[in-house]
Amino acid sequence: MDTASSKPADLVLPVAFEQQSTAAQQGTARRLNLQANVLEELWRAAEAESCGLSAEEFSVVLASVGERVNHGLPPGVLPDAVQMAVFFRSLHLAELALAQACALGREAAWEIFLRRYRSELVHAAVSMTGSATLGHDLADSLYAELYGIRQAAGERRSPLASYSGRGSLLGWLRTTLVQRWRDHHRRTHRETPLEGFDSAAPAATPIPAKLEQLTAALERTLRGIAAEDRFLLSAYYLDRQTLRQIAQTLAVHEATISRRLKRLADSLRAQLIENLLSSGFNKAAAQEALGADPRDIEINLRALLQTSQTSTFPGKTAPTATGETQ
Amino acid sequence: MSERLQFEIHPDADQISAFVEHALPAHERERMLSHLAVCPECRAVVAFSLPNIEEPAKSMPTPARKPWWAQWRFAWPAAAALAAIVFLLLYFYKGANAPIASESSETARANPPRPPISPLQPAAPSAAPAVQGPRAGSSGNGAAVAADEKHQMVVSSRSVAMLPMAGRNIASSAAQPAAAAPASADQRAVTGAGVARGLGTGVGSGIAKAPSAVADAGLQQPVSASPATEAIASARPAESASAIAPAASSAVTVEVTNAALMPTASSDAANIAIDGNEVGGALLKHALPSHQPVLSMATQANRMVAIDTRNAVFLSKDGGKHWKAVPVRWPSRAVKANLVVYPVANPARSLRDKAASLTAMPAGNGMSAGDSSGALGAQTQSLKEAPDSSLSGTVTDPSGAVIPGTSVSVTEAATGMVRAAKTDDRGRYHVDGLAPGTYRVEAQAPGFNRQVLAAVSVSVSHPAVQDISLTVGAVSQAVMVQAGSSEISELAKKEKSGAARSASPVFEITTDRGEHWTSADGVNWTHN
Repeated sequence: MDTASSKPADLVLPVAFEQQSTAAQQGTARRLNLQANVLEELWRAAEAESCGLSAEEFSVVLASVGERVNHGLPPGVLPDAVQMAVFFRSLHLAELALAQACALGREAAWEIFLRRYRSELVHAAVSMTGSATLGHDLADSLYAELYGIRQAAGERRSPLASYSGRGSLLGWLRTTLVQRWRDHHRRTHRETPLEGFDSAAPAATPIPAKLEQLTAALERTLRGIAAEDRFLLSAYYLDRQTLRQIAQTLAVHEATISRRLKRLADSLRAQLIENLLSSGFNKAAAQEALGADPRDIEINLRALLQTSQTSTFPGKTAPTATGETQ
Repeated sequence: MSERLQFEIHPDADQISAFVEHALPAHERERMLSHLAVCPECRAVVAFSLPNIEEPAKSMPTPARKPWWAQWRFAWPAAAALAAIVFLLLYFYKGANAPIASESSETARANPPRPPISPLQPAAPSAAPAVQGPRAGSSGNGAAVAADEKHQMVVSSRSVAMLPMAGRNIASSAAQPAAAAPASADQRAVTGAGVARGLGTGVGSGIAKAPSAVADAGLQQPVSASPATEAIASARPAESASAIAPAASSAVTVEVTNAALMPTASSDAANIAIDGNEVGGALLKHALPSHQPVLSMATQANRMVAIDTRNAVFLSKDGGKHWKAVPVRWPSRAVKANLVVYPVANPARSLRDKAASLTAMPAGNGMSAGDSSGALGAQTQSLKEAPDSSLSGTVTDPSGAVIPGTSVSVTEAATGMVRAAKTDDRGRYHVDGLAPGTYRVEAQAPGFNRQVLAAVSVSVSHPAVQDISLTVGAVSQAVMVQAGSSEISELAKKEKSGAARSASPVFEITTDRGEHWTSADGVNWTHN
């Protein structure tokens, strides 16, 4: 791993960071429209004092989180005090306070953090990499990053500051660990095609006119289905995820996933035939195009799904030159 | 995980972890799904971020094999209910059969194999002509008829008769045994050695009017010559009949006749509900001093006079518990014990009255009027000096419908002899054995007014036919009189009414020579 140290306790936050943080807290606190008793309640519920986080600092954290996700409301909707209170109460307040305190470099918070999550994180890293050495290296590298080794504009930047508390801190750590492992994989591996599948082949091979029409019909069909169904198709047909994995992701039963997949396949085929018919195919030709080589459909579906651009997260920063996201 | 680099905008770890933990709001989840649908990198991250993805798959717990009976969790109640139903069916089935079996066994115990009545059986054929002789002789000269000027209201020959209370409903059909036990009793009555007819005192027991055609083949004329008129057979067991007999014995005549004397097994034998064994069963408990079967018996109150098969006469003053031999004062053998009532008034009542009562045709007793007349006609013929004729007809209502069960009484104007009959199911009545003359015919049915025909002529040459039409009467006038009870009711009325011509009943012993000896107390006997 690239990280040099896995001893966050040896690091000391610069004073400027704390001062800037205090100023930011004050500015944010003024924008937090919550009653004092609610803030007091949230602060006590978060046990922020044990992490070395004052009520004012915690209120700044809440204001930052709320502003970032618009208090769980759709964009453009202004939350009122009640909605804000409901949103804050739905957060993992203790973990949020711990993460933010760690981001601020509070020693007490780090002690708690290490005590609670170190073994979990190492275990997840070892399971992910399949190697104890790689797992420990990945976990130490993440610790260093979390502690704020990396600085930007003279400030230590801890990824823990991006934790909003909507999910569990362990889940956030696991996701972050996966991302770091992905980045590491990118850096250490050349781009190789997947076994048995040449990803460049669809683009390189000249597409016959009939297949082009089929692709256009498939694109129209995919645009007409719901996002969850598209994810379902992608996860099952492209990623070869198991029904259990998909079901766990979507929080439904595996049997439900199976039924939905079958229903989706039938509906997709019917819509494809309709689109092909509208594109000038006769019925026999449309059925032949769909049934001639199912892999063609899968390849085109894969290519279509992979090459489609989305503006789902417009607010995100562009990837860095190193290829890392976020 | 795809190894291709993707330079796109991806959700951060906070969003992905929140998505994995289903903590994203709906709109944000929708955007996440839209992105995941086209981003294999993020799908891979999501897949690796699943909480249990790095944990080894837990082995599915092997379901413990349950015992076979545990799988009957829902079948146990049904099985238990089925078992309960089967148990109840068996219980009730046994309960329904047990009384029959026990009763049969009791009957068997009550009817042990009797000793052969050889002393009587060989004597019966010889006794028959002996009895018949004097009877025939008496009927031939008319003196005997004069001697029988007393109105004997003999109720039954070889039967126990009862004079029920006036107005009491008597179910003749009840005499037909409905249960298996009485049915078996009937069979025994036909086939058994001794036949007796128990008396039902009307205390809930079925009472039937037995046909009067009791022509004992062994006795032939003698028995028929005795004015047997009505037989009431009780369907009750012998014990109950005998137990209640003393209470009603003031109006009861009990006679036990050995079946050997009735080899004809006449049709009414099948209607006999209680045979002699059962009546004798009571006696067997307190057997006669001679230890012989009872040939004939008569009961009045607690006094009982019995004749055994050796023609010895015994008297009991305590309902049969203790017996005492009666000194024989008659030269011949006693063959029959009766309880007779001597009329106080109207002594002109002749033997014809008795003979007429024999021919009274009860309706619904299983024997047609013709059969009755055929059986008894010859007997009554010998009792009558003049040739007889008959009166018949149909009783109808105003609409022309026949009225079964109508009581028809035919009174001879000259002698006052009363004959009674009932209409059968087709509304017909038939009274034969009538002497030529003028008769007063009365018909009465429940719900109809009484119809009286003052003068109906009966000639010798041909039978008279007189149809009767009844008019509908008031409901309050309805008197429920069932078939077979009219004569009994009439007799009971006569017994109880002030116009009754009888005194208290007395014992009468008939000898094989036809002599009649009477006694009020069973001790002092006088020849009549």
